[in-house]
Amino acid sequence: MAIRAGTILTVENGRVIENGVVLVRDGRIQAVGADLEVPLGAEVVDYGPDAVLAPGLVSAYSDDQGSRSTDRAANPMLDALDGYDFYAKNYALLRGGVTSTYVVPSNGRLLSGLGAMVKTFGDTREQRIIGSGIALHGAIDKSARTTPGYWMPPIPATVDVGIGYAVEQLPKTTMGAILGLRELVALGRTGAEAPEWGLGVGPALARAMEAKLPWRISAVEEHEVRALVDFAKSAGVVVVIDKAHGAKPVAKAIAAAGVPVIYQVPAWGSDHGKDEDARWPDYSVPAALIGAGARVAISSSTPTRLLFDAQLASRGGLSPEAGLRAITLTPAELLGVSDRVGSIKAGKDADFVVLSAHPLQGGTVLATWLDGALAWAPDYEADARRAAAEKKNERISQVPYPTIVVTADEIHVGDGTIIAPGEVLLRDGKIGAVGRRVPRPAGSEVVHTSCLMPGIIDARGHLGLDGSSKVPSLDFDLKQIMAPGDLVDQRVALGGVTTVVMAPRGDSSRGAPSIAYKPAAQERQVVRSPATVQMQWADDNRLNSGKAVRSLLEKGKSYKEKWDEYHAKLAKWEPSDEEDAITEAAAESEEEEAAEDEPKDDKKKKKKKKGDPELDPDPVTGRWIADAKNGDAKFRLKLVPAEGSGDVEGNLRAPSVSDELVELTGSWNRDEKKLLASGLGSKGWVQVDATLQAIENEAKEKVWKLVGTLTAGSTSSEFTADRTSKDYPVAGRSQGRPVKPEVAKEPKGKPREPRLDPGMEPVKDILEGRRVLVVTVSRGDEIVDCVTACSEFGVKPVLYASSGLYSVASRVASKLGGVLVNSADARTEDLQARGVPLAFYSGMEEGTIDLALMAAYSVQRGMSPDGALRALTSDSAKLLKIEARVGRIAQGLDADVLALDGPPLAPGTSITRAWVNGREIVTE
Amino acid sequence: MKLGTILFGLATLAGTAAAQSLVVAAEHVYTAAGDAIEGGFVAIADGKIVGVGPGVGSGSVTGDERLEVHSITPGLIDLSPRIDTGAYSVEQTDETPIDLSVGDALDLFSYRWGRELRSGVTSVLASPADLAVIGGLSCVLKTGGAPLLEARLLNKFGALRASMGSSPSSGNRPARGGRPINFYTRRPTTRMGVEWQFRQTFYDALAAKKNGTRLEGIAAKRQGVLDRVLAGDLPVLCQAWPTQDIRTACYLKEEFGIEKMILDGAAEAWREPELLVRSGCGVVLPPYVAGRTEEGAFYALDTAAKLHELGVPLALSGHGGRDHLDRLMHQPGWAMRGGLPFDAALRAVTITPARMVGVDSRVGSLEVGKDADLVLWSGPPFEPSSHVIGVVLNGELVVDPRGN
Amino acid sequence: MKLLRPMKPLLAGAALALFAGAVAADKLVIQAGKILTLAGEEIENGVILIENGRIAAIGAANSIETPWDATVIGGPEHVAMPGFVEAHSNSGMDRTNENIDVAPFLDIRDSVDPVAYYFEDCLRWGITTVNLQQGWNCVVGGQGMIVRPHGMTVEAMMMRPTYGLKLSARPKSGKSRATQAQALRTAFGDLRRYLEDLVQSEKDERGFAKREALFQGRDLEGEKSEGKAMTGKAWTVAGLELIPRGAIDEKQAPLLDVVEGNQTIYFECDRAMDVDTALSIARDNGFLEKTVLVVDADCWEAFDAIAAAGVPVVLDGELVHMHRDPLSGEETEKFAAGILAEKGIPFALTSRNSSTQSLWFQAAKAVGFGLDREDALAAVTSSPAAILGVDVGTLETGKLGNIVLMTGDPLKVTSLVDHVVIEGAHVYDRSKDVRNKQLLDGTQPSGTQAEPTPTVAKDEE
Repeated sequence: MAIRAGTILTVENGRVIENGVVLVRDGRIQAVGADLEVPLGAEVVDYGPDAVLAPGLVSAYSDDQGSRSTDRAANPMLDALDGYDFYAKNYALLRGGVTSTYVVPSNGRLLSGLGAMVKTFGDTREQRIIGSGIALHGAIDKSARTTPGYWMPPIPATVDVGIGYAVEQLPKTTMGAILGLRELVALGRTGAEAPEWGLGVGPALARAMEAKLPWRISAVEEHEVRALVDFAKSAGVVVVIDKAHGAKPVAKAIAAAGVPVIYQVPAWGSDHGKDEDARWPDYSVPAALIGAGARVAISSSTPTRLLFDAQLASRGGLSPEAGLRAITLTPAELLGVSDRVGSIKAGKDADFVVLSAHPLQGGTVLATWLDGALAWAPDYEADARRAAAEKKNERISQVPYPTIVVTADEIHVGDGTIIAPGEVLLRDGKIGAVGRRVPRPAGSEVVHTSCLMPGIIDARGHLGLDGSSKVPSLDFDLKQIMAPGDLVDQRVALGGVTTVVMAPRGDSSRGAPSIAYKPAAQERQVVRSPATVQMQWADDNRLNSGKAVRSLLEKGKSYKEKWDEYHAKLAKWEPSDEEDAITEAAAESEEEEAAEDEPKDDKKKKKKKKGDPELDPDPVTGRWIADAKNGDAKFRLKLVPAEGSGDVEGNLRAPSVSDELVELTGSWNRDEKKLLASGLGSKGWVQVDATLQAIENEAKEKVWKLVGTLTAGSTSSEFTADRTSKDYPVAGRSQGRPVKPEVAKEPKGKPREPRLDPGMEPVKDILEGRRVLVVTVSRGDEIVDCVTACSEFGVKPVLYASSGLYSVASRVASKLGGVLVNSADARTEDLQARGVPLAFYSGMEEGTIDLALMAAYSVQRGMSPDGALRALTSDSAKLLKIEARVGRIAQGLDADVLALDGPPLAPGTSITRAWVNGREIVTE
Repeated sequence: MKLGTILFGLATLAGTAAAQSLVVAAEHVYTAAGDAIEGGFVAIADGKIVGVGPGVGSGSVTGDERLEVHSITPGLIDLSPRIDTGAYSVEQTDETPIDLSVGDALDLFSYRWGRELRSGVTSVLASPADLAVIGGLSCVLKTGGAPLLEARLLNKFGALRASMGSSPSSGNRPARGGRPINFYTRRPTTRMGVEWQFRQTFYDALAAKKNGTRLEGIAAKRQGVLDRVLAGDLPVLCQAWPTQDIRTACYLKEEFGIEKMILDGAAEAWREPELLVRSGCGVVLPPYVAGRTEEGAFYALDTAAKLHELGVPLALSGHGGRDHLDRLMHQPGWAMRGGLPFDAALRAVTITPARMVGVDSRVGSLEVGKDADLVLWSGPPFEPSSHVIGVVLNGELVVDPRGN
Repeated sequence: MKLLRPMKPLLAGAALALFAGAVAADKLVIQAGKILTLAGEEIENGVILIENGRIAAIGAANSIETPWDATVIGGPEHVAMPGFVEAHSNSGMDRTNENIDVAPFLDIRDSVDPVAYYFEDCLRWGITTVNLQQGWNCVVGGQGMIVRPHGMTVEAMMMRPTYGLKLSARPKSGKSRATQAQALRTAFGDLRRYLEDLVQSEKDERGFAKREALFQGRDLEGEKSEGKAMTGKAWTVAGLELIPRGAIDEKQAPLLDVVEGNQTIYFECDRAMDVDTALSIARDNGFLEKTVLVVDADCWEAFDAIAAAGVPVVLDGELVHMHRDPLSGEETEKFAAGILAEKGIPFALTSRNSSTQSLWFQAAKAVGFGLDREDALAAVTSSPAAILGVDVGTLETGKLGNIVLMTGDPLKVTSLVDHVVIEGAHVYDRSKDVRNKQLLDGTQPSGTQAEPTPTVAKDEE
């Protein structure tokens, strides 16, 4: 069979074949080249001219091992294969392009066992094993120097059953660890039994050294690496330095000693610690090492992310070729399996990964081949998404790689448009002008950069809370806890995040405020406060889910109505002549106590003549009962219209319609005097519509009656309902005591303002679409409920932590204000495709610095790059309704911009300079 | 027959409209309405049963799909499925959150519904957990169909959930450990406390009804529910495992003239069946265990048989067990082992529970016009050696006996 | 501890007293309306004649004439079938696990409680043979035994003492799968090293082992006094004949038996990958032929490997493996017993130490899931009998007289066990089973104390 692709990266001494073909026979590579003729009858798979074919990735680390180890500090008999599940379906790994993986025997011991190398796919154990016992796996870092928490059994039945004590052999310091290693090497040379190390250790080591196995020892801190290098020089065994996070300063020594390194990309997406000496991940170590001439393989603490992390680790100028070699051939060589995997070469296993572009230039995995068989490929839907993503990639990848030029090669405005080349004028904290050419005021400093993008917005972070987990109430102004930018804030800004929506940890049932602010800024920090109102949909008790949100909106609604009405009145009001006004004012005041919601004119008339139904101030409220005794259509109807809200509740007992009481709900239209209500009975829907009519009764006086029809399925019957009770609305029941009018100061008869409620103002804004409601809701069914509930109030909620959203996206997409996402959320790109605005959030304090990485990772997983960018900037701003201040590089907006040395959202790109409010951010 | 793999095509759960027509013929058709039909058929169109009778029923519906199985029963109904109503499905800050409906708490996306469905349970009464004295409203719903409450709901007012005995009083702390909640919010800490709480609630309800007190907001809502209970519109589903609790429940029923009461989990009902007869309670038995249940009630194997002889309305339940043994499909078998006749056993998982919660007009038996909820068996129903090989829900073949 | 010879039926008679009127008659005649021999066709209206604990004759009523001095039980209303065989059980003992990783020197007989409710329950459900082994929470466990669920003392119950040894590929609490596997290998490695040292010290004429044995007063007389060359399929230690077997450390001797292939191994497997570990260790130490895998339904993926190795299986757990897809959340079920049957692997079902899921129910459920009736019945009678190597499980002349009389077809939910005969002794009679009456209608028998402990299968989610 033959596989074609536009580009084939063989990795064998960097050979690249354009429009080449790989011939595969029974799982092995037969030949590779540009002009090979494909044997007849061979199946041909062609991935087209754009596709890139690379060797299957070799992960030099596995995280699926139980960290449980034996009680021995050195246990070279422990075989990693015993712990590997050969039945596991590693789709995540295959999706990440990983076809071979090293298996860790166990962690946390000086010498914790024998590592192995296996395929990530295959039916039988035999098929999967590449090599067993290929390396001695150990560590001298902290993990190996802490007491193993193994449980000591009680004195066993027979007293002479020995129990090993790990503690005595356990090194506590780096020097102790090195000493231990030296002892072990010596022991291995003799191959003698050494009880203090445990039975069998000596011989096992001897066997290992016989086989010339590499000693793969992990060292993290700089001094550990140094010590290990010294050890390697004198030990006389092959040492491979694992992890090596702090290796940068030692690069030269490592290269000189010729000690290979398996750099492990530190886990990102978590807080890194705030104290001065906290080491935040430095991804440019491999570049430095390779630059110094050392052999470096790159592994990831999360192997499914290997491809992405490799790009991350190519920061600081590691060439794509070198990067690719570091995750394919080099690890294969270091771990002694390069005869089978690691490169595309005749005779090796047919393990490939097919990508949309060069693996270290933002390529997305299109397919993974293992032993000449297709092991993973995305579904069709994914194909479509990828096609879209590919186009974008093309555009971006045409840009030459980081070189210093005079103008910004690209200005990513943030809303998808790109000005290339372009210029930006920052003037007094704002963006003065944007365009291909902008005016250069005298004395303006000229800065050159490759690429410019707006400052990133963290749509929900905690930077500034300083660990506090208090949830303030809505009327609390978060400005009070804001502090001018400190070192941490500046480092964050240099990491790209200029605006953070600081949200309290957790939600409150009464709604909690958040504040959009610029951590690094010294002045003009606040962007908006409160920025959002955040609430949680699910209650600890599912029965109460949503009650909080509903009631808050309900409160807000009535509060809003008050104001609307006040403004309405204000519009109508014109000062009238004195004496009339006085009485009116008086009347007003008492009326207002009674019924604030009554239209003005109603009340005027009422004073003249009570009792007349036309003038009844309150024609509807109370109970309306209709009884029909006659024969089959026997029913009893009860309706209770509520004042103000215009809602109607009630119930119906009618054997002909339902076996049980039917709950009715509906609405009351004041102006048309019409009432509509309906409910579900055991035999189907029931509908009641009635009109309010003034009818003369026996006593020849007009009284209100509800006259209408009751419809159930095909049958319908007339009814007339009498009012059995009425209740006048008590003023401001929901708002507490109304403010007394000050007739003296106020011009006569002027409508009084309702009481201003700082706690309700934000909710009012939400209802008027001027502020954002962020709801934490995860379960699919609850999301549907939540969105429907909100849309009843005309509110488009922004969802947070909505893991269940994917299942119901189609149902709610149109009613969403947006969604807060992070790289953990699956298939977010689909939502974006449906036009739902997305915004990335970190949910961390200084960890927010990794926000750009999350976005980049999402791109890796198929999100369109400019979609991701928008979700970091303009969309995020729009969604949070702060687009007037931040989110784009446009005239008049705040001057928050980032200078990059490459295209945004390429993990290999780093931020060179950052401006907030027009001031450059500089640490120390 | 396909050995080894039993894959259940639950894809249809996504809820496509059931428009196709279907005829299922069987050696035995147990309609749960009148006698069983030997060599009969059930014809289905548009989700409803359009024909039941002897013969093969060819041409009874147009363009029909045909199936032949050993026997057919109506879809099983479980009044105590304990699905998805964990500790968090019941209000913990109030002993009598009467107006709350469990419907709002159900996760219709949970796989547990599928598990029930493929073992033959097509309708259930979902109730709040037993941690409050009166835990709120239980609702009757189908176990399949579009994952929307309105799509699955059969009766929003299935029953009012109450519990006797230790469970409501045991929990004067958060349901999942943690700091004890202030006991002013969790009053009863003893059985008597529970009983008192129940009594007080209903006493107030009666009083309010008598004096026609006008109540506001929640109080009114709750009063509304209790009125329906007192009017006999709404049954009370009261959990009572041991005799002690069963007695209490019966006495309360008599004291307040509660028309309909269903005892849930009444494992010890065999001790004083006469009391049950007198009180007129219905009974829902828990899944069979030999000897003591976890609630400490002794569960005699012939309980069901005894109650049947005395004419006590009887339903069996499976408590949503993961293990096949505990599933509802096996419970009638155990009851039969205890001496219950087959017909009675059949009714106890179909029409009787349907009547208890007022959905017998739609489900519970194989009659023309009713929802087409069928269980297809590989052998005589309820024998452990028979299996549910097919399930029809709303006329849709959600589990296909042909194994795809 | 001195070994007891397997006892004679008469001896049993003395010990039988759990149910009043249980007598070990020399001659017992069982009449039944139908006899399921499970060997060939059923016999309508048949008779079984048992002499000295074994089936002397079996056939149609008219073909066999009843000895004048024989006790007669049963009648035309009964269905007779061989007693059920429990292939593997942890019940009836106080604790099932010891805390030491490697403890082959332990013997289950020291922990079995003859009056445990479990044994009584066995009779109630028609189980006449039980293989008791220790629990899985170990690396190398103690030795088990096969018992009759009847008798006042452990000795009286014993059918085959010190039978079976428990190994576990399922990680003991606190171990990872890798370390568990290593511990297993180490156990045999240590044995080998020990034996080699032994031989060496003997050759150096230091004879440590002998001296220690004498010092401890261990038996150096009789058969254990002369040394035997080591046999073993995988590996042997030369010169072991120099060492009297009696001198070999008690802690190692049981494992030596295993390697020499004199002991049956019950190997616990929890997940598919455990099966590979178990098989490889069995191969490396040459006791594959003597290995029985105790698997969970989750192991179904490894059934091919099992079939290839040709070892029998005890399916100790649910019959179906329930798998929930992490992505779709949809639940699917795999009928493990069905796959075993398909692949022709000899297997037995167990009652999972539960009384409501006893063997008849498991068999019936298996039929429900699609297993043939014959296979299902075999899986709880003849095939476990074959695995244990006891001549029960079918009704044929010469086999042990373990017979159950039921009120109807064994797989029918309404059929009850009326009588149980073990080796000719009439050990169970439902009419006299007071506790069964209690289970049926709740009447508390006078003088009984604890009721059965609840056996509620809890939902894991």
